[in-house]
Amino acid sequence: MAMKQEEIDTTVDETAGESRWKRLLAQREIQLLLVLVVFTILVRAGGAPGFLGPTHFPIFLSQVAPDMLVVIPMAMLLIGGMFDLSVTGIANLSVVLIGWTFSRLLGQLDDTLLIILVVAIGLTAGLVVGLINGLAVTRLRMNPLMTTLATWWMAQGAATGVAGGESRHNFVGSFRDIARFQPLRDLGETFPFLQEMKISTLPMPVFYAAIVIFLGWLVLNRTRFGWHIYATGSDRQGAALNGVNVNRVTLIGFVATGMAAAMCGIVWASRLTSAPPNTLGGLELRVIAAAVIGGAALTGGEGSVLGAVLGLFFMHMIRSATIQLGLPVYWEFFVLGVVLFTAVAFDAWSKRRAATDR
Amino acid sequence: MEQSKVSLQNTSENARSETPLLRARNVSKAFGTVQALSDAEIDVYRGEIVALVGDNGAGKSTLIKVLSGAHRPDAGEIVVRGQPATIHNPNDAFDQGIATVYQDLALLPTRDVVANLYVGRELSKNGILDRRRMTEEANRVVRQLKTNLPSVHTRVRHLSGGQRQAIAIARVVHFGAEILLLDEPTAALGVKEAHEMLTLIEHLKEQDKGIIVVSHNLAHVFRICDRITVLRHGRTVGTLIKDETDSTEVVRMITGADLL
Repeated sequence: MAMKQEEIDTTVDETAGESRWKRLLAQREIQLLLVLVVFTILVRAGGAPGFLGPTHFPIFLSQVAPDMLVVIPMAMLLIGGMFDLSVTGIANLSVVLIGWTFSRLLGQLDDTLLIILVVAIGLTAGLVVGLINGLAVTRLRMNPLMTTLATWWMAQGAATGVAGGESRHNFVGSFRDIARFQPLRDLGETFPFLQEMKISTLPMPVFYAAIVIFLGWLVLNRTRFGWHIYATGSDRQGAALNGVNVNRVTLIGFVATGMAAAMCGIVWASRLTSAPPNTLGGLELRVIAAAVIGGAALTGGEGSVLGAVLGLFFMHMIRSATIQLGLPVYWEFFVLGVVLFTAVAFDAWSKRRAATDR
Repeated sequence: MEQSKVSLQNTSENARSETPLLRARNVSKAFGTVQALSDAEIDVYRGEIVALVGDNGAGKSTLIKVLSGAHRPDAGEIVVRGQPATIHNPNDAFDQGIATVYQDLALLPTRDVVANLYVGRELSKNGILDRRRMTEEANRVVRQLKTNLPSVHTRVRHLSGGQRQAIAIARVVHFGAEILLLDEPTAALGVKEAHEMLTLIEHLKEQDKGIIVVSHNLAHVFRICDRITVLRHGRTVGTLIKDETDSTEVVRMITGADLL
């Protein structure tokens, strides 16, 4: 008994005496940032001096942007103790529905109206599948893993079915502006440094992603709803006992993720101006892994927007580096697997250490 | 025995002229064929600690759950501050200023002390969380508890059992609870932590709360309480004034040995 007391006392003192630096370094975001910096230095030294340089960086950002739209709500869903496998299916369904609508209505409607219509249809697909996921998990108490695996197949199957083996590409020309328009282009002429740094060439999706990141950060850290997301993931029953509407948190999480996946599909449809049902592959595992590498726990209650952003950066940096260093791209997945394994092992190790401390 | 019960009750009632904060009379509750409570009664005054003791299965938890709104009694009367009260669920109890701190606490392990104090009742201004005010208030609450925490931004996961319990109690007190029902507050704690918890409970008494403590530990009971209500087989067999009794008598009433 006396032993136990001493142990408790030392923990308290240790936490109190911890230096600012040590606490800062214990933060996942800071650790990850350091890893990214070291990784960049190594890749630059190892034969790709332009890696994330002024020419590469804007291109890199526009490559990451569509995934970024999805990783933010996915991280919020994970923090709330849930996750969603169906995002790839949703994104592809949205792509195919856009292609299908264009092929039916092209020339019969005003172009602008048609674009608004296809965007609305794409987003509705995300809204509907998100609602099905959310209601199944909250009302019917279905398991989120199996539910979203099922809706993934349903959405993907519907996409393939509607496409019917064809990839449609008769789009309204200006639809491509959704992904390709460069809002800072004119500004670049006035301020040459923007042009030199290629910032003026950043396309729209980078700005959508920036808005989603900002909104995600704002909601999660600065609103009651954000704290309710953390509370729900931390202890669903405890949160409910204290008046948190945990089912509302979960439902909104699934709907937001679904609509973000649809938005990702819209961006890809605009970028490719074609609508194959296999436009996106592996989106679900990419964004879940990115959020987990960024510190989100599958058990809920932990994670951050910044962590998810850095985690996704890391995954795309590995891909970019593989290409720029001329390494066989076939090994990309192997490296991603190693990174994810390390992140999860590190998590388990630090939690075990915290547990034995007490 | 019946005689002694009545006289004891009279003594306790004569000692007090004011209205009790909480009074429960003739409470019965059956689960199927099991009569968990029959004619249970208890009361607690402002600035008083009442211990609720009894053997396993005597009905202590059931009585606490009736008072906290988790169970609906089959019969009986609950009077809060002199007014008959209907308590159908924990929210009704909370509205009456009755709060229960259970052993499993309902805290959020991955969140800090501030978030735990305010969960479900976060302060915000124009839709944006007022984190500064919550942190200030949390610091004030923690200081009042006289519990030493490294920081209000420590995650509850990293707190000791006693500190967690203190946070759970602070939460309900901060939101206006006057009648506290504490279920085995020292059971999971080590010696020093249990000691700190008892000091905290005494401190709450000084703040004029009415406190009912369920405990198996008679040493703890005798250290802090003013009166002891003994349940046996779902019935209140007596309420003793601490200064007029000793643990032998309490044990006898708990086990029913005096009937032999």
